[in-house]
Amino acid sequence: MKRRAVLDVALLDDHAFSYRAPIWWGNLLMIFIEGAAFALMLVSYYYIRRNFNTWPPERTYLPDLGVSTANLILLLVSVGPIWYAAKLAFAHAAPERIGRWLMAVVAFGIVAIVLRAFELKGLHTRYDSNAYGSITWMLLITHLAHLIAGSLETLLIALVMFLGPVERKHYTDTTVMAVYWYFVVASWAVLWLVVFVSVRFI
Amino acid sequence: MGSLNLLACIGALFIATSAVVFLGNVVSSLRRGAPAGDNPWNAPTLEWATSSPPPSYNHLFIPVVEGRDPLWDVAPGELSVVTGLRTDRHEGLVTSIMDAIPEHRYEFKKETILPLLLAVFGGGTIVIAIFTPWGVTIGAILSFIILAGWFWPTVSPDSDTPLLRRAR
Repeated sequence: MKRRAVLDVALLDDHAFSYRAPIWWGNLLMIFIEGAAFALMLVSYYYIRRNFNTWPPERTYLPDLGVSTANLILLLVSVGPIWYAAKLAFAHAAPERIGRWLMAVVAFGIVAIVLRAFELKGLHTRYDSNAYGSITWMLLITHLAHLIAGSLETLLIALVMFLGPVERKHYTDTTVMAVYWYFVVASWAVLWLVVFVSVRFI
Repeated sequence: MGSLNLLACIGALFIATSAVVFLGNVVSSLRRGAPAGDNPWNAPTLEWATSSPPPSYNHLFIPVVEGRDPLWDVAPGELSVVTGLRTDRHEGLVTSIMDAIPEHRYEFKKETILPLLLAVFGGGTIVIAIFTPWGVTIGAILSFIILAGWFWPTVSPDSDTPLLRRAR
């Protein structure tokens, strides 16, 4: 069959941002999946509550509000550097500049992971004590997995910015990473409201 | 019951006869008769635009489709194609969602063993986790190392890929 060239794409760009990039959609769909998992666990939390006369169950202290609130503020502040890194990436800034801001996000992530250990201690229950202990530990540990994954991914992109051969598509990766980090922060805000605040009123 | 059994037998014989006719057709076609060619029915859709039997890559160039019957919309024996994608690395074309207007070229990774390793370790994680919860921890670490290696940019020195900065 004879081929007739009717469309030359050699001059098209080698990357795109936002909804024009397939990886942006992939990330968004993953956030839907992860968000649905969190939603199921939150429904379980309130379902389990109906099986108890008091909440938290008898002989269990209320979870500590201090560390978890500090972690929430820390994560909300960490939105600043990741947002700025994404802004620099949109503007095609120098890779090292973006890498430095991403390392700041990694630092926030590490502190948040350390604080999570104190949050678990502040639950004043074990994961195997009762259903209350199981569901609160599950929520915190699942979010911890997101914190670790998000920090490692941010670290990886930062390392590429500092060490690797940097291509323009890595700008897209940075902006998509920012969207994922927003999700990690937003999901903690919801979990904090449920596990540490709503427990005092229901 | 007997008449229904007889009916089923007649049906089975009917199908068996058709299978014999089909096999006879295969044998006689293999021994004589002209090859049918790439598109014997002048069908309008893309699967008929490649050669018969098709090569492993199917289409050397991405076809351009502008209507419901792409092979009828152009002159007979012709195919509108896209040119300009790179040949020194895997590259795809990303288009707008509704109108399929080409927007940018998208690079795919090179051939690598890493996805297979990821599948092996991912499956291994679940198997080990049956016996000890450490399986999850170890599997997650190994999976991250593999994913990191898969993500790490690899650009061959002779490639003319526009780089913002070379590797250090």
